[in-house]
Amino acid sequence: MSEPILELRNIIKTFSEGPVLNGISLSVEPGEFITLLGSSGCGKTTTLRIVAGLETCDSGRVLLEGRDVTDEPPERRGVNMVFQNYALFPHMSVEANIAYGLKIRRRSRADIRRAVADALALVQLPGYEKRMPSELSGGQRQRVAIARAVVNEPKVLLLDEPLGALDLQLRRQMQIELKRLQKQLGITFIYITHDQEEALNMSDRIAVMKNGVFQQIGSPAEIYDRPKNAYVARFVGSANILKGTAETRDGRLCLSSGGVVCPVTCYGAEPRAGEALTVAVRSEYIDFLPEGAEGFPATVKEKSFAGGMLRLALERPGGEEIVASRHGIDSDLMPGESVRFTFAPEHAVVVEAGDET
Amino acid sequence: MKKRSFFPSFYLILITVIMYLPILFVMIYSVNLSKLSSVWTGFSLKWYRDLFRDRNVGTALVNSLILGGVSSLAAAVIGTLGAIGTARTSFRGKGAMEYIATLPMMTPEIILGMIFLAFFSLLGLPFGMSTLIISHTAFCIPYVFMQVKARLAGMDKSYEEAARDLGAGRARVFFDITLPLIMPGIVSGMLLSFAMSFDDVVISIFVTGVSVNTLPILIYTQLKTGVTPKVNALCTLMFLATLLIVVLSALIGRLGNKKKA
Repeated sequence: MSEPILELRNIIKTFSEGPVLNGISLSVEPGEFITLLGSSGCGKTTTLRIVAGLETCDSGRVLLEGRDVTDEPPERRGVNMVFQNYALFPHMSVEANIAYGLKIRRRSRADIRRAVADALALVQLPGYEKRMPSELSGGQRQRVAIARAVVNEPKVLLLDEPLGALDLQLRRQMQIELKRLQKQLGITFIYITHDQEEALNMSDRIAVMKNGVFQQIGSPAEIYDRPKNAYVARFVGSANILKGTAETRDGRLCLSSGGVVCPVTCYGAEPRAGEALTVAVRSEYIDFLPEGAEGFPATVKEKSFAGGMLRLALERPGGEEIVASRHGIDSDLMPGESVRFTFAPEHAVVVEAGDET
Repeated sequence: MKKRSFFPSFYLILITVIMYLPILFVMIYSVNLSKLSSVWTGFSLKWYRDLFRDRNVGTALVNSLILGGVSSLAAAVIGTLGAIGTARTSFRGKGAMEYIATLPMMTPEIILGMIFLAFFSLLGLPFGMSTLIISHTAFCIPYVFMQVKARLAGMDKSYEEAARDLGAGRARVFFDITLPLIMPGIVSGMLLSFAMSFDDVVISIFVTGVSVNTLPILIYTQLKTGVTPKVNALCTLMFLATLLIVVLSALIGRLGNKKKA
């Protein structure tokens, strides 16, 4: 295993309004695309600013390529950041903006001109050198901001919700381009977003954050298929949560809820029979059963279409809502109908177990 | 057709007339042949000629220009540093300090004049250009301070952070990013200061001593010996010069805002 390019060790940060980071640790491999995912106020931007050196931490260490940079000012860290609002210098041309970091490093004029042209070509804005930031569209500013950062060949590129201000279509396009750019340059990306779809699309690894703590760090597939807790399951891909008690049948762990028993999968320590159990099931894995078969009873509340998917909102007798989704739009089920549903054991993942929950 | 009220335009014209009619009279009488201000006898540039021949007026003008230039420059430096200091740091009593910094603007000039007089006598400073410059700098600082502070308040902190992120040290960030972005505020504050200094008479009279005359003091003392059309000519020129500065200051302010958007 190679040495991590960035390491956060037990970072704690408290603002006057309260604690923001409660001891987070993270190790990032060179060339990795890692996303910090969480809703606003979870501490992801603060984490990024601490890595950049724009914020100090109360305790903990920041290591870049094994070197402790905790007390170094931002200008001596060798990381670059793409700001959420781009922060292009309004009094400088696109060229001067991109050249700024190189000028400080006293590179020769010819070098700078070539590097700026290359960077602009990289973000597909060739020939834009003389424009002023005020003459660019939002998407173009975004590209210039990226060019200004990557031209310095940073060890780590920090991106703070870089696509947040763009419209959906442009976002999708920029997602693909950013990913291409990252592969092409081989730079480590630390990317912040609150959009789980964006995170799943782009990342090598995702760190789901809540209340200044990493809830789970893993590949998109791991996060999606094996959520560690109910928060992750709900936040990433809005999974259904079913609560009940643990039971063992034919040597298999099962969930017993409302008198129905169904086998489930547990990746952690298996709970004993009779303990409380919470299971997450993605909406696309909810299967409907024919009349009379054993399954969880529910009533269809709502039927809607979104993005080529049929979405059925069900209500269980206890009032819990379950969402089922299907490709295509063919379904005979109508609101008000009673149904029975179940799920394959491999798609029902235990997210919480034990009596404390 | 939309019915238009005639009142607003009437009101506007009335105000303009009340404000500018006296100035217009001064301008007209500055080109009057007669020595008496109340009788029109014909057009002449005689008084302007007299004015330019008057040695005292020449020295007073130079004094006023030096005074305005030096004190507005000094006020620009001190006011800007003060504004940056209060905008980019936070400390106890910051609000009170900001209020105190603008107090000279609201203090009656006659009181400021007396304060300066007492202060300089206490220090034993010789009255003259140096005391003029110190006092003018002091009452000009708030104008720069307010302008630059407003500019800084509208400026996103992430510009400075981005510059540091790209490798610039604190000093470099100041000269490359902060200073150019607040420059319109500094310049318009400075022009305002210059205009304030250039027409100040009350404070100047208190601290000038006997040897140094500024243009406003000269006019004031000449009024005591009777108004000659020469004073009208001088007032006309000073008014036009002030107008030019104010318009320039407004234009620069607008230019800066446009760039920012």
